[in-house]
Amino acid sequence: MTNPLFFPLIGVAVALLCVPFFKPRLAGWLSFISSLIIAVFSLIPAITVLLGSTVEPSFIYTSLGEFQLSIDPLSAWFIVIINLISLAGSLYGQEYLGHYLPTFNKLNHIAKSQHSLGRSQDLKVHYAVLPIFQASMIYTTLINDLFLFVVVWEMMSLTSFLLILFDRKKDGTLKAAMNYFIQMHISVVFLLMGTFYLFHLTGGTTFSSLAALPDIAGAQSSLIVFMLFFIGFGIKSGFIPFHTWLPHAHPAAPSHVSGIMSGVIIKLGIYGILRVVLQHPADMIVIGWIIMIFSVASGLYGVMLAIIQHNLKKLLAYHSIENIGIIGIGIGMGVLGIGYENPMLSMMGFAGALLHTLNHSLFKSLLFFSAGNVYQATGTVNIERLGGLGKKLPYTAGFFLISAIAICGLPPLNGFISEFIIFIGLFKAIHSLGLSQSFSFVLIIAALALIGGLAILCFTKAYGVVFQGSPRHQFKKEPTEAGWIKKIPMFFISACMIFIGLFPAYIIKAMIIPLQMFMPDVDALVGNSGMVETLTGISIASGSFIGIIIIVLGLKKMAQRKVLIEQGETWGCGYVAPNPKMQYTASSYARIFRKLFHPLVFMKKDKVSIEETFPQKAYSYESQSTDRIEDKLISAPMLKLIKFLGRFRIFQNGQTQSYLMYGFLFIIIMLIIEFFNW
Amino acid sequence: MTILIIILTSLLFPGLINVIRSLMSGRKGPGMLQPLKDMIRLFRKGSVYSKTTTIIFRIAPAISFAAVISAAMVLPIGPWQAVFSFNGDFIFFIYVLGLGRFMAIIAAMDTGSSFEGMGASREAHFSMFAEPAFLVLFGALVLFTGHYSFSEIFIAMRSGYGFSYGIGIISAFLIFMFSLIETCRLPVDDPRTHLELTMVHEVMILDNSGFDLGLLHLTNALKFALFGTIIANFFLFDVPQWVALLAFIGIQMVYAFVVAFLESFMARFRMNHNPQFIMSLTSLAFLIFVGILLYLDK
Repeated sequence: MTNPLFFPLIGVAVALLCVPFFKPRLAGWLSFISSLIIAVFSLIPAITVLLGSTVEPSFIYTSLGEFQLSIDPLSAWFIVIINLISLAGSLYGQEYLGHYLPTFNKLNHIAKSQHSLGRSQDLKVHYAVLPIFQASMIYTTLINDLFLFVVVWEMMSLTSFLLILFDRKKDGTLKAAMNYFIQMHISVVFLLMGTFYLFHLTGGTTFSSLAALPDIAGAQSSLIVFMLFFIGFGIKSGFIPFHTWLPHAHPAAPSHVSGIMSGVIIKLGIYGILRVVLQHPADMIVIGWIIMIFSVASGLYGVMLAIIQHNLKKLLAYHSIENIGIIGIGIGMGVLGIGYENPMLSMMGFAGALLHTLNHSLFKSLLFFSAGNVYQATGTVNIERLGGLGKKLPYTAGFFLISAIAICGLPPLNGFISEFIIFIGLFKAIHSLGLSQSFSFVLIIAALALIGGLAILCFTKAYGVVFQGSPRHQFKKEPTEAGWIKKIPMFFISACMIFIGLFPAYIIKAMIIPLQMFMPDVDALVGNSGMVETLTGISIASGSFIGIIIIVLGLKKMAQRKVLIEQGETWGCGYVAPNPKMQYTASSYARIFRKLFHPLVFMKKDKVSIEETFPQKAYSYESQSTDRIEDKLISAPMLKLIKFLGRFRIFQNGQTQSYLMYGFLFIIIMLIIEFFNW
Repeated sequence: MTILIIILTSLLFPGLINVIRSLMSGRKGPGMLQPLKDMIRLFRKGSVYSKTTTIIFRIAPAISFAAVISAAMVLPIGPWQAVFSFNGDFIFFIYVLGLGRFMAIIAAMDTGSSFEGMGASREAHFSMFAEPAFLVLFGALVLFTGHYSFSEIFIAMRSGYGFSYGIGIISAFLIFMFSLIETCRLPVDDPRTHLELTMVHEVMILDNSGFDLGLLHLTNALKFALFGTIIANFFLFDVPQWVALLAFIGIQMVYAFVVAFLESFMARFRMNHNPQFIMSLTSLAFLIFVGILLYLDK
């Protein structure tokens, strides 16, 4: 047990043995300390590996055999992401969960509605589970054997289930958490089926035994194994049509958990897919196109549904699906690059995918933290009720704006860099591949450009409606800005984002070692492709962009020194008594879009209109977004299944005699089968 | 040098359009320098800011302006090189313009006015459909030339042969249509309309005044020069610098003439027809792409 890969378990021990036995506030800080211990001990080997050295693998001896724990650059890359976001989330959670403490100001509307006696127990459990969750994610990336992998994977799902369940008094939380719980187990079923089939075909149960698959099993079976793994991991990462848990679980979880979930958990699905394709388990061209099709569909569908959401956190959840699509486009491109023996394409694809994985975890967690601030300041995440928060929560508005610009892939922030790398790869593909491939790739370019445009539409809506204009609703308590414990992790994440955005050349250099896992000779490829020069060009262009902004603002200050600057009402075209209800709403902002994409995006409307002379009911109108894929693919077959199974309810009649008879009959049938040797 | 030429062109461009338009409608019209004088006047004036607005409203015009200048920096003009040029600079070009638009949209939302929200919504929708056309067109040009930056693509197209000029003409047409959307001109948007309900860009800047308004006018003028420069680059052959400069000016004048001509003899599309029109640009870009694909006989 002297291997460094076991040291993070110290943190787990602290979490399990100390956290539950202290008062909630102290337990919270202990939980953060154990997260810190886990992070430090897992980052040391991870950074060692990312710097180019190796770390000795270690072994676990169990009655089932010997399992290996090893760290390679791919796991190291994900460990960095996991720790970054988990630590930020844990720190943010200290203040966020403080709102649930029994001592918290009872006048606060959230505390009032959700406060109850059992809360301090809940808090302790939550604090204890948080570091275990972090550790289980880290160990997922260290395990090569698929059976042990599934066990740790399951631990990760269960701990995150407990974390989502924290706010169980809130409407719909329990349902969303159960939905998550069930879907994660369907994911496990697929992973296990894949593992068993793999074992059946090759006799191995490790990720590396996937490599032998095409030679032993032939094209068809290896494709089936790949698809089983892809669906298993796809459910976790939220590819269309396996995404249906995401839009329910993210809004239900407390915001720091949503941040970690969207930032990291779904990335572990991506990790799994990368781990599988690393072994070239089947015909790379075929699986490349499969990944590509799922990804483009996820990207477009995710952002389309995001636009029509009224719930801020649900909107962000759909955006995660979109970003998984973008990451998937990168992976698909990388895989196709291997298939078509075009290492340049491969390099661009995997580089874009890995970087976008990091970037998305940064800006998405920041967005969820900002949404958390909004929720705790106002008690709602319904954007139609919010408005004008930019003045009351200036920091939160700033963080939301930075991350919104980054998620739209706009310069000079980090989202642009990864989308840029993927774009460049797509353009290179157009030039270097054959006729039909070129045409497919230009379609992907158009799709990615459309995704970018739709994301701008979505986030101008979210930012504009939530933070700008005047308040649409009078809250009992004036919304107030979050405290410093919430703001510190948010500042830290913003700083990371700005750094990646302005100095992308350093990041691409840091990525050379993880990329080497996918193809040899990355150094030469990066050199040949002029990647570093290109990214330096972006740094200079972004830098001068910021320079010009500063100069222009300076000029403005000088020009306005002597003239009169006044405050007045917004111009209402002559109307002098505007009221907040006359503002453009989120629904009206997205109306053109909704009409254009009508059959795909669909709003359910509940309307009571005034008809009689003496109306009995007041006029009311409510619209709700619906997810067509979820309705048609999950809910409708489910209802049918429930109806069908309902017919067998007669067997469950509640009489012990009958149940004994069923057992008796079963034994007799078994004996008959045995007797005739069927 | 390039950036200076682009800025100088932009200062005269709106005036030129006005002059041509007045001549066509048989009026004498204001002088060519009038929009420039207006801008200078605005720069000296004070401002009124709405009480509803936040800091975004005050910095957004500067960011939009900086975005357009940064976009101009990656463009070459014939023999003059771009300020910087790197692989994929056309992606930077379109995305930095996107950032400018993002800020303009949220600045409009900042005022809490329903008119400005409406304009913002329209602008966001129209540009969203326009972006794929631009990138698909450059996909076609990348396929055709094998280069990945504005400067290299234009050089490769110039040293080409008959077919490349054909491509140049169609691309120039597409960029022209694209520029009408980006600069909010007819037939997508009518800058002269009086009614807020029928505006797109004008209604978004209803609340801006003084320095900010001047900056926004300048930004819009610069956008013309930006797309004029791309169009001109398709036709600037390997010629001495003074010829190139004359040709550049000539092309800008033709461009202004066509814009003014359209504005004199066309009405704006119905708002709900705009997305269809804009999406048809993407199909045109796809056609160019397929044409090149077939021509290259892969």
